[in-house]
Amino acid sequence: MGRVLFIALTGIFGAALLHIVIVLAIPAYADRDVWTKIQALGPTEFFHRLPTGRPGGLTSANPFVRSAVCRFDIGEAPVRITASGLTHYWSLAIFDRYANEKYSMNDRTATDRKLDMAIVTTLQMISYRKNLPEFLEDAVLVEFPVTTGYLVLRTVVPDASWDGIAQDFLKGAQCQSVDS
Amino acid sequence: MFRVPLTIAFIFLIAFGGATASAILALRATVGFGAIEIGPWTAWPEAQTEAADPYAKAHRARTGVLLLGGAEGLRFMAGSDDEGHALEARCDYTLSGVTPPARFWTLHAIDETGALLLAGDGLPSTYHSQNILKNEDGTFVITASEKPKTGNWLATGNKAVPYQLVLTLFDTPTAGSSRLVDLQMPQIKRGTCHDG
Repeated sequence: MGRVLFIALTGIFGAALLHIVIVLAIPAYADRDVWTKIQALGPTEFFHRLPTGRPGGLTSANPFVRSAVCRFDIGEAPVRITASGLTHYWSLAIFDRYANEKYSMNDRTATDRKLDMAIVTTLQMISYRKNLPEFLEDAVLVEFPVTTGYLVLRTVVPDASWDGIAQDFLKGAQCQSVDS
Repeated sequence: MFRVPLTIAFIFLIAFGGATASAILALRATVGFGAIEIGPWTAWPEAQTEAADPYAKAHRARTGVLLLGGAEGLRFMAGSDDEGHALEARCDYTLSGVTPPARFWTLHAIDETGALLLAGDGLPSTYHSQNILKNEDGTFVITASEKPKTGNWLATGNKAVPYQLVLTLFDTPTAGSSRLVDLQMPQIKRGTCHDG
């Protein structure tokens, strides 16, 4: 009897310990996480338009949302994101490669409801503070703590007639390295 | 003579089996801590941030879905009615009330796999804040049912599956507000259930 109790208690204690280890280790070993899926999409610094609600895909099943994602690496040069055109609503969120949100905004927080943004490292930010290139004068400068990450641009489609407009908006969106 | 190895084998079996099963169950059951709950509706405003707890981080790594940022919106989910009964396609439900302030909101239903629950071509299975019929005071009533209803009918189809309602608020101060006492979400009341 004592032996069974000993086995059960030790087993449960070990299970609790391993449970914690598994939960903490999953983000590092997951093979279906956002970063892996985005890397499979194709090149960096390019907006990939995503299909809506495909099982196992990147987007949730919301039928009114259209999204595009761009993976970036700002180790060499900053990346600039621009988009303009008619939309009902747009929003943007920047994540690091572990899917932690670092910055987000929507059309109401942008100038003239246009998206013009540059993601820069701390060092690039210092040099821009001294001497900001003319073409970045209107851009929102976002200081990013690490060099790689991804951003998601979303817009909504209240009815089918907005579909083409939303696709045009996402097609026209640019995510490009700044040549310095 | 096999007492010691057998003991160790049993302990390992319980430890590894229990840990794996409990981890999978925990990650399936919830998105993590830090949820805001308004009636049957639940949202996780911090699940996409660095401040998310380990369960939320493991959950988002396993599902691999792009989450909404804080300034983008907030996604509320409801898997049960006000009394706590799971939502079923064979029952009628009345959603009534208002949503928290938002520029735009959408409502749709998903099945257990997270896929959109569509009743069929041309049937209204989704709504948003601009195509819904509202009362004079800004409140609305939506009837989720497999059979056609007057007013705002959310067609759930006749598949006998449990489903979840998803209400997404876009550009909302809800995520940032610390005290959620004043926030109101639609009530979900169960009506009649059809058998067979």
